[in-house]
Amino acid sequence: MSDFDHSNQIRDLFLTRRELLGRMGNGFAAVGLMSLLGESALASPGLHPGGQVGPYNPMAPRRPPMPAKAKRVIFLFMNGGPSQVDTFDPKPMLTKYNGQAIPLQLPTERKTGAAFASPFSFKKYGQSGIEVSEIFPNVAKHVDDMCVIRSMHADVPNHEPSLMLMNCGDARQVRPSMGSWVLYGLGTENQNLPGFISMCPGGFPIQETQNWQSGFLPGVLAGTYIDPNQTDLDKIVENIKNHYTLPSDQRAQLDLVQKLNREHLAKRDNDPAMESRIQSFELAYRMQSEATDAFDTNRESQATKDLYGPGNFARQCLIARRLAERGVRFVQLYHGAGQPWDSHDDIAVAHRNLAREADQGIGALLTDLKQRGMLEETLVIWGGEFGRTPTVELPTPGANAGKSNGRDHNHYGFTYWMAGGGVKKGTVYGATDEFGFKAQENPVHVHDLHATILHLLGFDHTKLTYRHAGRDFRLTDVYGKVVHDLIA
Amino acid sequence: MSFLVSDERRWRPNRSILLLCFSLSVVGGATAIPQPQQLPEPTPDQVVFFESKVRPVLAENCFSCHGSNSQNAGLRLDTAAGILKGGSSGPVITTGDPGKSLLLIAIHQSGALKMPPGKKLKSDEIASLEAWIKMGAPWPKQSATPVKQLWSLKPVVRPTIPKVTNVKWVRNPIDTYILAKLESAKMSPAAEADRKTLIRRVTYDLTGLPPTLSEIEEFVSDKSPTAYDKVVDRLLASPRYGERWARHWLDVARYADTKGYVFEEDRNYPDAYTYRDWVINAFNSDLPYDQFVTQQLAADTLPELQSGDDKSSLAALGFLTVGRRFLNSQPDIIDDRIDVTMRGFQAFTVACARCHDHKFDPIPTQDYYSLYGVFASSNEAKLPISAKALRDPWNAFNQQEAALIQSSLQVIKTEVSKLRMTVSSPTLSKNLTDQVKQVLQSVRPEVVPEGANLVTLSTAFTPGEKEKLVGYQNELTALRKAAPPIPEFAMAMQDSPNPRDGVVFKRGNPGTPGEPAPRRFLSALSKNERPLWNSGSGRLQLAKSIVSKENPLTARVMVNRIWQNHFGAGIVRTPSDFGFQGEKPTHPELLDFLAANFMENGWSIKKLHKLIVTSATYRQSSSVTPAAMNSDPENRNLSHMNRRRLDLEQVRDSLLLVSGRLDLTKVGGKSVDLWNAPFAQRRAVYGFIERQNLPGMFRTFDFASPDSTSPRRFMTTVPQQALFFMNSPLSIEQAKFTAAQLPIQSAADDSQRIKKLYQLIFARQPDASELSIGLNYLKQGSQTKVEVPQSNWRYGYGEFDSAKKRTISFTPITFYTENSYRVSKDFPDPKLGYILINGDGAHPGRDASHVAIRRWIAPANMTIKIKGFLRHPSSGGDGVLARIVSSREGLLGEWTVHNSNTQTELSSVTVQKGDTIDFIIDPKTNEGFDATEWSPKIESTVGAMVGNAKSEFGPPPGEPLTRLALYAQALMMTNEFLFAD
Repeated sequence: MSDFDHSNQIRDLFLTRRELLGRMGNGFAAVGLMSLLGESALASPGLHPGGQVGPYNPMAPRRPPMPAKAKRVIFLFMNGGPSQVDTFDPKPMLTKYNGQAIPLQLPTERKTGAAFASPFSFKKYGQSGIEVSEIFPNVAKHVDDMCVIRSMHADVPNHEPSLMLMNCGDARQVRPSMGSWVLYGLGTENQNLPGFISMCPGGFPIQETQNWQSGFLPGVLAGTYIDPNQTDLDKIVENIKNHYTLPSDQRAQLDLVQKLNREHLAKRDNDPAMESRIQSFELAYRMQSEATDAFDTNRESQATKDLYGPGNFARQCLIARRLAERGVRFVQLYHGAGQPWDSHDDIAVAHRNLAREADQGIGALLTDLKQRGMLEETLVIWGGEFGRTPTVELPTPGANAGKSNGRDHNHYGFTYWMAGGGVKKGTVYGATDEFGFKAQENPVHVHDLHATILHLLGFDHTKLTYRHAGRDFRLTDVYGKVVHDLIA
Repeated sequence: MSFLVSDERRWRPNRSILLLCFSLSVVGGATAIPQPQQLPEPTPDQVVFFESKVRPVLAENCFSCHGSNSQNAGLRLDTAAGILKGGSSGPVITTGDPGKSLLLIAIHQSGALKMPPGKKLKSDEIASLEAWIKMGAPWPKQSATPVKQLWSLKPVVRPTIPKVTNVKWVRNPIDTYILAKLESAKMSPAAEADRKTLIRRVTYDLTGLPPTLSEIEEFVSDKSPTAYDKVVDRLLASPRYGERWARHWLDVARYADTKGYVFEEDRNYPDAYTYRDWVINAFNSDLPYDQFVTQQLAADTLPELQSGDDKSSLAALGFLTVGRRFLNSQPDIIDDRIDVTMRGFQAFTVACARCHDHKFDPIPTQDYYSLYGVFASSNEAKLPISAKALRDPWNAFNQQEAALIQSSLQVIKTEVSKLRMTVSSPTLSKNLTDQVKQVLQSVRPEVVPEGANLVTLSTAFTPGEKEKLVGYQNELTALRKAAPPIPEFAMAMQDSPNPRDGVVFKRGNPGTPGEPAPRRFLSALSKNERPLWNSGSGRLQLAKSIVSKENPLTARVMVNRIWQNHFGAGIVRTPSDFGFQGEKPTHPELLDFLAANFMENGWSIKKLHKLIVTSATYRQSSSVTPAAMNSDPENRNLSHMNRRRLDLEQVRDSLLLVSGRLDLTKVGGKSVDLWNAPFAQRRAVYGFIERQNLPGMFRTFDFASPDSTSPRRFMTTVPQQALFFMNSPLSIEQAKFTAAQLPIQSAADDSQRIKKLYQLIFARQPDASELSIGLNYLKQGSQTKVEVPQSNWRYGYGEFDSAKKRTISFTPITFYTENSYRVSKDFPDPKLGYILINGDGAHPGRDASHVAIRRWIAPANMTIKIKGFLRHPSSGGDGVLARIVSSREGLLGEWTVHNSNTQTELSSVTVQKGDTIDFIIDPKTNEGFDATEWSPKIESTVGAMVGNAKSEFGPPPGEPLTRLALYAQALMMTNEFLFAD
């Protein structure tokens, strides 16, 4: 505390550090305080020159209050809603009853009919013998590192609210996304890169940038959106390049700025707010080269490129690894713009193609993280906003007219899997009913998943809070329980 | 009254099913317990224990089923009486004996009864409850947070002026309150800031812009005692003042130009700007704050405003209507309106009471729904606010247009449903073409078909009806051609014809209605009598209750907001939360003095500003003594002025001001894009705010989130801000313009240039050291030749030779305006006509030797695929010819479109580095109606996107920065530029 009391000179901040701490939950403040004050060994010395405390830098790395299993997250978001019974939740009963009515028929967005057998075959993999669909052969090789949750459930069968629930913990209101909460809690380890990056090739998913919004938290905690189709770094990180000045000239220019700033500062009692801004120019200068490097997948060896394979999805996975390696705290990647996994019809073709696009890249990512010794500290999460019905969707004019070969949205039961980051390896948790419609055994709500993810990152989800509009908000709102059986 | 109830904020169907009844009947043999008459009064220590360890556990786990909203098994655990009474199986506690208390048996979960359902309390929680029962279950008589204890609800009383020692320092009463606190803390105020500092501070503060050199010089040399007052009066009278202070209020009003996420509808609020302009005008004209509030809530109901021709006050209602749309979920829209009203004007977090009574402040859920009824009894209305001469023709036009559309729709609906009947009959359906049948199948029955579908279907309409339809369409076309000028509109509200009271939605769920909630003001802010608001929606009565001089919050909240924006922090540092969870005022008497004074001065905001900025407190220097830094690091005692960093708007406006690009000619107008070239020259307050996908620069510079009312801005320092100054096209453009300003260009030598730049950028002369640093920098000569990277696209016009099948001439176009390349600023160009190329497509010139050419230059050797969608939307003229021509292979593809569209795909084209691929629009025989949409994409066959006509479209690359421009840019990056002392 002493540093805080004696050297702090917070004067021109609208939100001072002390007030900010006041807004944080007690459990967080107790431990978070020290690191926020720049006393953490992790804190970038550049941000706190001379041991002084500058203005609030929300990106400064902080230690979580509890021992953490995971240091960072890579969230592979299969937007549109992948079908559990065609991927990681085999249901022989569906084959048996194919074309017949099933006893449990729950209302979803559209009308569905009889049981619809998966067009794909399943096979046991690894020592754990977890069954995986033929469309994910490369991912399947990693089942012994995975914890497959077959009993996920959410609240409604519609994309928008379900995306919001999965990403921000609330279906309708504007709330900070999980990545923003994590950044708020932990800061980020590489000051030369954004701490929370969301990738989606060719555009936005449904609900657009709200999926990575910072809500009432500072705007800089929002995810930085990147279109991995773009190869031009300018379009990846705003203002990262200067087309009008050579690096050597820019350095000379910055030297001039800093010289003038030093003279100016000397007359103003070394105000830390000004000192901090001086340092931020140095960070920005370094960021230019660091970011160029981080996004340039051409720097990978041919063997690595071959491991990931061709296509946008693979490129995203490779970028994700490069970012994770460089200390980016939270990387989320979407399969594609819109809602690619939304197979209301032709699921046999559509899901096979989607899995083909994703499988090799995800498998490669897990292999790559593991061989670099990063998997233990990196929590990899796979899933969508919900799953799909085990029953066939009935044709609707103007939508899937004339087709009975797809599945509707299903929030009652679906699958998520996690790997690395301290999850229990080679396990299956929970189960849907015998047809795969509804989570039945050990149901895990989205809030429970969030609570568990925060736990793995070293937070009690009830204590990572922020005071806003008269109350303390948290990612899990007033819900959620940690599922300890998912944790190694 | 207890404010600690359910912790569940919102009802959730699949969860509440899990909340089984707390049915005590399953446990028998517990009826013979002797009952105390009342629970004992706790000792002070016990109160602390109860409020920290007992009540929270009960609230968290039990109140949702056994609280004020529901009493499962007849049991209520949130009052002493309820606990004494017990549930359907009798009492739940035996005071002093936890072992015999049903409550404890249930939470231990050792018997059949297990509470709470589906979880178990933590052992320390169980231990606390055990200890509490052992104590005899003391229960505080008063609720934890009685209304009267809340400082902000006590009446505003003009306080006495405190006694101070250093009376010479005092300039006005504000200073006595500040000084009294400083003296009691054994601190003294800082010296007065020098005049240069002072005028820069107050000018930025009141107008958002820096003072000019001549303004500074005039003030510095003005020896009259009223010199400073004159400056303040001048600034308050400037239209720039309203543009600055409106923005502070727009933060509170969560202003944006869009609705947030929408599914298919248009996401823009094209009329939102009229609200923004109303706020600017309100500040500029010093609209008394009571009217400022009233008009924003109920301008439509004020006869004195609405009887005349001037309807501009209706725009004030945008305060309620410019919020997020939540996919048109009515309860959420109303919640947002309650929130912005009550936090904005009252700093009262009423929205917390949506699902349960407020946990900390005296706001029962019923009060929330009293206000809910007010807004549910009000409808949105887009109302014209321009003068009658503009309004009337527009209204007439609208009515005629609506009537024609209605008639057309009637015909279409009838005819389409006839066709649906026909198609379902095996005999009749033979008469329908396959095309018609196909369209009928593809169009959803509830959707009125349009476009190509309608054209197809109309071929099967009854001839007479079809003729009618064509007639309506012709009339509509003629009517629209002669449409009157469009007036400006307010995003207004009106009372609904049937205003009515609502009911409480239990747990916020409209599906579970509870007790009635008559429309009336909040209980905590009412005296014993709470009149019902039965005439109209109640918005006017709400406004009157807020601006009543009896209301303890209204004036305090606003003077605190004004204070905050002058000093960087409020007297209350949680400006939108004056409840128990908020902070208490650092200077309560000062706050009351300002509030009382504000009301006595006719709620004049400008008088309040003047009082504040002419105080000795405000005029202090921002330099701080080490002692003050130690004892009061956050400067809560205001022993010196807070140094301020410029905010987003000040940064952008200042850059443009220095470069001579800031347009200050008019106040108000439609919103403009701030961040894309060519850069708008208006002040940042006129920037278009896309709420859903807020551009990165807003976030980077801590702009107030427009998602909900924003009490104050964050102030962060991140490298992305530095990147903006170093690299952004906006910053670079301003550096170039600054260096090109006449005084700099006409200066005799480097030394003069430096002096002129210092005057322009810092409004002062450089000192000797600064001059020598600058000279040294400029001496290093011009920048090493930097090759500005070129895009792979060129734009021009020329000739395609159809015999040779090649482009034989190409004249580049470099004139760029309004996001398009044109041959000159005249459009059409007198000689060359309508040639135009933009990101979406192109318009060709007059003839085959003036075709529009979008040229792509291959960056490397590769094989490419080209995809594109070509559309010529007009039925006029003779259409266009589109061609793709390679410099290596000649003509690759050719398509003709006229009121039609087609895909333009080429699967495998080999190019070598430097080859060109031309995308040509040829006017055929005449250029009329030839605007054509075509923005192709080029992919390499290995899957990389190598060319995108749309996303890579942009202005021509510029020239590298000169040494002088780099120097100017450097000065604009300094802390001196970015901070106001």
